[in-house]
Formats: sequence, structure tokens, C-alpha cells
Amino acid sequence: MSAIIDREEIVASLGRGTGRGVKIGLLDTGVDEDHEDLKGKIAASYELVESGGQYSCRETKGTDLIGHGTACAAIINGIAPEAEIHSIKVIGANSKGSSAGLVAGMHWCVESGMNVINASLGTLERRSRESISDAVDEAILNGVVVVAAANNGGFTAYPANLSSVLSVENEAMPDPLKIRYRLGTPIEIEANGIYIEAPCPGGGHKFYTGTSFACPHASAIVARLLSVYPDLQPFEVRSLMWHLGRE
Amino acid sequence: MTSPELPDGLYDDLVKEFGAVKSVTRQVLSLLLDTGAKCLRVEDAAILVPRSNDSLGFLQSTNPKLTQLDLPPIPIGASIAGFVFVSAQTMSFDQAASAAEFFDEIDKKAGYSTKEYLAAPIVSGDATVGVLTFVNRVEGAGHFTKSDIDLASRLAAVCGTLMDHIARSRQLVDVTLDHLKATFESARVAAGLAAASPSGQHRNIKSDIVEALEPLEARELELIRNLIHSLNGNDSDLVL
Repeated sequence: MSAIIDREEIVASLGRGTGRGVKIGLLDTGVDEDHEDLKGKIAASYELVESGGQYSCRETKGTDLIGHGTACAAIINGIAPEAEIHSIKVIGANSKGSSAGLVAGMHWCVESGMNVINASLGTLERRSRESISDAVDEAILNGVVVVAAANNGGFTAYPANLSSVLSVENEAMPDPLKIRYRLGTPIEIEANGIYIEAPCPGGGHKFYTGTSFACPHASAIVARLLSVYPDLQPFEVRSLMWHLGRE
Repeated sequence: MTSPELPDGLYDDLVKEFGAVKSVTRQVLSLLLDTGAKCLRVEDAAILVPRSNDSLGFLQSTNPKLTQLDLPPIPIGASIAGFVFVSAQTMSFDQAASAAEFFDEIDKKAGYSTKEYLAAPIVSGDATVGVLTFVNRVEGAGHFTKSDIDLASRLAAVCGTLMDHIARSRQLVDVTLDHLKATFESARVAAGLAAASPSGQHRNIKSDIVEALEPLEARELELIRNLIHSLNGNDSDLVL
């Protein structure tokens, strides 16, 4: 680490990184694997299966009826093209998903050796805080970086408002690799997330705005850093993000 | 001793009185829609609210057709407004009708042709309660800009406050009526007990509940809370 505590070197590393060797668990609405932009670029897709109140993940054909996950996957792929994206559908076609499903998805990511978890979603339910916090702790202790989108309405949301999570707000950035780090605030990272052109299911593209689309920018930046420094622990990644994003 | 009775028609009277609050608030919402439409240089502005668990409908619009016609419900899972409602994210389109999620039944029924479309979530407290939409820019206004999106989001926040006001006035009717019912019921029970027992003592239901819950462990109380929560059908709590 000591050799890289140099902002210029970190910026240079970011430029060299491609995401190679980094596995990203994308907890979202699924991904349209057949979209022309994403063909062959999704390592695998999974969906939640519920039985007796318990969730498990099973491999499935990648589909996305909402479009949210497809856009997030494409943003990651655009910035860290060699990162392995594993899509875990925790929100279904009716736009419904539960905290229990999110926790199960996070647990699966840890067990399956993901390096980064991208959660462009969350819950406002305080009662879910403890279970999500436990899942985040499990991830961090296993060296998995958790990146989550802040709530668009500015409300306290989980996992974004947990202190060990890299939480992301959206802002217009001149460069997709540019971030701003706001030290000492619950939502510490601002990343590109206004009018982002990304694919939508079934073909074509549209423009997306929101914290959800800033989050995959930050995850992809983390993936680029990890591809250059694969042994970084989550707290070290946070430190590098601070170096990158300090004004 | 006679037991007091709740006067007939009290509920209707309460609804009428509180209805005035709702009516004024709706007028302010209407003013807000007109102003928003002018500032954002659009043909129409509207507020959509949930009509059922899985659909939205028009609450108010600058275009009277949209609230007067018997329009089909807008499915939350298969429409742009539904996506904005669920995700609490503002979205804008230059050619909304060509978007995969566009629900074209409203255009067909209302003889409309939606082009530019800006939709912002209306949030009240911790919940999204509706969607504020702006449709079709006036001639020469071009596509929606970042500042248009910001303005729409801010107007939606004001709508949220106003709609919160309407919801509270509705709750106030129920709470007031419940309170009055409980007061009369309590007086009736007291009158009955006084007749049956010379001491006239009776127990308060609330203190009975507190007493019953007292021996429970925190874990058991949490279980009861979760049970109530799941009975309320709030299993789906993730937002995008």
C-alpha cells in the first residue's frame, strides 16, 4: 500500500485498470443479456427462489422487465469492460423486492467470491437495518466492497446509510471516472448520474438520471482499482476513493 | 342512569367540515399544476396517484379530459409513471411513446399524442404517494433540460406536502370520529357498570393491553411488530 499513497499514482492506476479478475455482484432487477450492448458480457444471471420464507439463488436466463439492472450492468461494463458481472435479480417484474431477498443476495455474493457488490437499491424500513447491517458486515469481513446508491428522495436508506458501505449520490461529472468524496458525511461519494445514456431491455437506449446510475459508476471505478491492486481490503479501497475524490 | 348515544350524521358532518380543507388544498394543487406547466413550457401537467395496489390514475390535470374521461388504470409494473412511482426517480423522455415501458392506452382513449414526457415522484414522509407529470413541450421549447428536471422535482416536493395535508385531514376525520366513539362507548360502559356495581369502577382497555404486554421480552415484542407488519402486506420494501 505504501507505494501507492500518491494521488497521481492512484489516478494513473485508475487509467490502467480494466476490471480484469474482478467479480461484481449486481443486485438489481436482472439484466437483459440479449441486448446488443451486453451480449456475452454478463458472466451469469441468478434469481431468488423463496421457500418457506427462506431465499436461495439459482442460475437463470438473464432477463429484465424493468430496465434498471440492464442500465446499471451496461454502465459497469462501459467503465470496467473486463470485470465479471454477475446479475442477481432481487426485484421482480412487478417492481417488488424485499429486504430479506436483498440480504440473501448479499450473502450469495460473499459465498460466491464476488469482490464488489453493487446495490442500486435499498429500503427505508428501519426494521430491516439490523439484518442488512449484518449482511454488510459479513461482506466487509470477507473483503467484499459494498457500494450502494443513496435514496433519491434524500431519506435514510439501507444499505446506503451504513457507515461501512461506499454510498453514492448522483451528480453531473465531466468524466465517468471522476468522483467527488465528501469526507464525514453518510453519503460520501458523488459520481456521474445525470442524463446517462444506457441500454434498455428489448433494444435501444435511453437517458437515465438518479443515484442508481451513479452507483455503478463508483462500483466500476472500484473494479478498475481492484484489477490493478487485487489485494486491497474494503477500507483501503475507501482510502483510495478518498484520494481520487478529494477536491 | 341513561347511556349517552353518538349523534346520527356526525360522521357526515365531520367529513363536510374537513372537506373544506381538502377542497382548498386541491385548489392549491391546481394552481401549482398551472404554474408548473407554464414554467416548464408544456401543454399539460397532471398528478397521478395509486388507484389500487398495482395501478395509477389521474387525481388532477390541467387537461380536464384526463380527469373526466373513464380512462383505463395505468399499470404500475408496465408504465413510465409506474416506474417513477416505484423507483422514486425523476425521468424524462424526448419520444416517450417509443419507450418500451410507455403505456399507450391513455393516448388512444384521450386522443393524445405524447412526445416529451417528464415524470417526478411525489414523496410524502417516507413514501412515494404519486407522480407529477409534464407532457409535450410547447412549440420551439426543445427537450427538457437539467434545470427543468430539477424544477419538476422541486414542484413534486411541494405537491407531496400538499397531498400530505389532504391525507392528514382525512385521517383527522377518522381519528376524531374514533375518539368520539371511544368517549361515548366509555361513558356507556361506565354508565352500565355504575348500574351493576355500586363502586362504578371499570378498567381501561389501554391499561389492560399495557399490562398484558408487560411480561413479554423485547424479542417477543419485535415478533409481534413483525407479524403486524407482514399482516399489513408490507413484504415488499425495496426501492430503486
